[in-house]
Amino acid sequence: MLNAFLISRRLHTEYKVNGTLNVLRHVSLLRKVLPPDVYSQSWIKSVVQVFKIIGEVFSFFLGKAVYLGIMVLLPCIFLKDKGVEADTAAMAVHILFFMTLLGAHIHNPLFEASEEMFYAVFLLRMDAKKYALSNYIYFLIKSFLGFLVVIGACRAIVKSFALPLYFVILLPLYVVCAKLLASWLNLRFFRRHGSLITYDAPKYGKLVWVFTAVCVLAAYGPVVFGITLPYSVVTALCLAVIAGGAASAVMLYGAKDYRRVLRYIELKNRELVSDRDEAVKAATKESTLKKISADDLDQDAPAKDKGLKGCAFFNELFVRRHRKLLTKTAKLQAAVLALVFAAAAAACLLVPDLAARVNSNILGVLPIFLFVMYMLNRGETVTQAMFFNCDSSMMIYNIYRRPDVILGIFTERLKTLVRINLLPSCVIAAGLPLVYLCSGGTKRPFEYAVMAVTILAISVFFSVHYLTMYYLLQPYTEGLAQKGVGYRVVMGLTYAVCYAGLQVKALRANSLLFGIVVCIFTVLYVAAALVLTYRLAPKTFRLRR
Amino acid sequence: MKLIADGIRKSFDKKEVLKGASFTFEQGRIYALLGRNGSGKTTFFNCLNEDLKMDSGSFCLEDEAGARRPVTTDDIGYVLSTPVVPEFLTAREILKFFLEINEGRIEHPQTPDSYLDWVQIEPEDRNKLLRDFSHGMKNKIQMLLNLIADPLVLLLDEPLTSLDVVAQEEMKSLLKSRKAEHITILSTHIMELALDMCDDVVLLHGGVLTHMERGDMPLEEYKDRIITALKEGYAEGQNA
Repeated sequence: MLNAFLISRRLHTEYKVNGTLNVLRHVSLLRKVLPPDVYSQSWIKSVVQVFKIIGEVFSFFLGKAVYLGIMVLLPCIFLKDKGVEADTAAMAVHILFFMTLLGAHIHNPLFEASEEMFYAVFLLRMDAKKYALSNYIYFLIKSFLGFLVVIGACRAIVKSFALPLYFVILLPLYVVCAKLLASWLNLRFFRRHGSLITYDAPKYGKLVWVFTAVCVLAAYGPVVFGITLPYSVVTALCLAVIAGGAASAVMLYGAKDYRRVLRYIELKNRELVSDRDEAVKAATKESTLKKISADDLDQDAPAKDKGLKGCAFFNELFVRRHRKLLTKTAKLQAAVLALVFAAAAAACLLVPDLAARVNSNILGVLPIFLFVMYMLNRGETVTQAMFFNCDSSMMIYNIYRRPDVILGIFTERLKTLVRINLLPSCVIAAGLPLVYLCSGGTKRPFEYAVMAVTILAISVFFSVHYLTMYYLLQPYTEGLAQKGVGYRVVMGLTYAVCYAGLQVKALRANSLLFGIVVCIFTVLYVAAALVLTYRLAPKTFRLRR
Repeated sequence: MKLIADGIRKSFDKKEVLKGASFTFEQGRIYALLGRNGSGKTTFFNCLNEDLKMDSGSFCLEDEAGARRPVTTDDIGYVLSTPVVPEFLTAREILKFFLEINEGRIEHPQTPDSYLDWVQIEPEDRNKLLRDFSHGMKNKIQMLLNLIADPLVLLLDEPLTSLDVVAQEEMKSLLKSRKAEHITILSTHIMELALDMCDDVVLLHGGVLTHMERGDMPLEEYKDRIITALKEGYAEGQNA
């Protein structure tokens, strides 16, 4: 087993290091420094490897710290601050207990598809059981140590996190054993039903969603009202799970059907991708590669094509056949935002104190919405879906690259993308002025208008921005890997600018001016982007090789 | 018309794959581009199709009067060995789209169904998503789209390998029947296909293009000559 583990780690390291070197070699400055035979230069690889190991250790502890901080400690401190009468440590333990149950199912890599698993088990024919178990043990040890250190450090640093000392060991052990138990249940389920317990499992997928909701509600619901599980109950439950986990470990060690399960995962994963590039494609965002499901396919399309022709016809079919993938999230965002704004408006009407505070601050939050709109925007996902599901194949045909066709489809897509993004944006554009009105309103009605128009302008700006950047800096390769450094730089800058909207206080003091400037900038940007796309896209919109 | 490749050079890092490849391809003939694995056949096609930027050299078209003009992507149809088609469309829909965006450019356009009859895609398959097509059927659609576009230069990368024997014969006769209007260049590893279907054999070895004159040479001797030439090319490449 140790040997199998060492081989698979070597494969992992080679793979990651070569991948990093490959990325570095695509940066034109570094390309000159790094020779083509860099992959055979052991000292360069060792340097990269050292950085990778440091990065892995760092990100591992950091990951646990961020999880514990954001999901557990912050909510507790916030609730305590709001006057919830419960011990911070008891609340944290309560949340961690239930969230770990959830985590055991959703973050449990024993039966997860990965490129490396495919290479190791199916291409290099390693022993499936030894590969899966040895890597799983490594993962569990990392989890245990990570939680041990982070929980221990939190206990030492955060005064209110004064849980009994034995919890510092009990909780990490519980985390590990919950995962083992979940893996064993998953394997049993597979033996009986031929599929694994996942969100997209054919019959039982919905149950996983229900389980997720129950865990989240059980973790945070009672805590809001100051109710927590007593330490004694948590201890008893943890010990029960640990006993179950230990038994599961024995069962998992004795199980023989790993290859069958891994083959199932691999085949299921391959359904998402079609041909020889499966391993490469699997590494890209799977969500955008979702197959067109039966209910997305409208076989009566010709009868319902509204008389559309050419590019409009083509785009209409693309949108119709990928409707779920393209609009589901935007619809969900719109629904959640509608609820949030309705609740905020109601709160303003019911609580006069709150209304007064909202009224005096609401204009100031407008710049923050630059970042909010950035986070909500579907541009990157939609353009990825366009590439993966359409352009990667169509770009092969020279006719598709004819300027009039590129521009025809660009125009149709722009309308589609603007429409998708306007779903949540319209809710914000209506919701913000509504909350303003309910909080007491203003005597200057143009403030409502500036609010609404600014939000809509930002939405249109992002739609144009993402689509234009996709057409001008088309970053994806035939193998569906992202290659364009230019695209990454532009996306990084976009993030930086939007983040600045959160941080620069001067913007908040001059919100109205900000709104007006954003609107003017959007108009200018859209004009410039369209001209640039029309001029340059026929040259830039092609497959990277 | 003639397609003239003049001094095409292309390197990847330090490896020079095309070392000034030059050749004149004539309309009405089918050329077999033969070369060993990694000899640069696909690179040559990609340079011609403007998918790769070449380091130096040029491609141009020369008409009967001797007037030359650069090759544009409109002049080229590229059929890949692995058929690539948009999987979310049906066969009828992709043809409708193709015909509409080429309105006014296609001489004597027909209906999508008559084109599908032409390549023998069964009526019951025409409203299926291309995703559910077999490899061979996708290949037919890909070939069909390129034939409808009717580019002067047709590049075929291992075009028949995924087709069943009947479809292979159909495709061969289809390409032969259309050869008068095109300059057809077919890259393949299969010697029999090259000799059976093509009028000329061009070797790509050592980064250059060489015409293999057959004259009255018996078939077996001609084959031996090609193999020997390819081996020599490989040996030269190794020594270089």
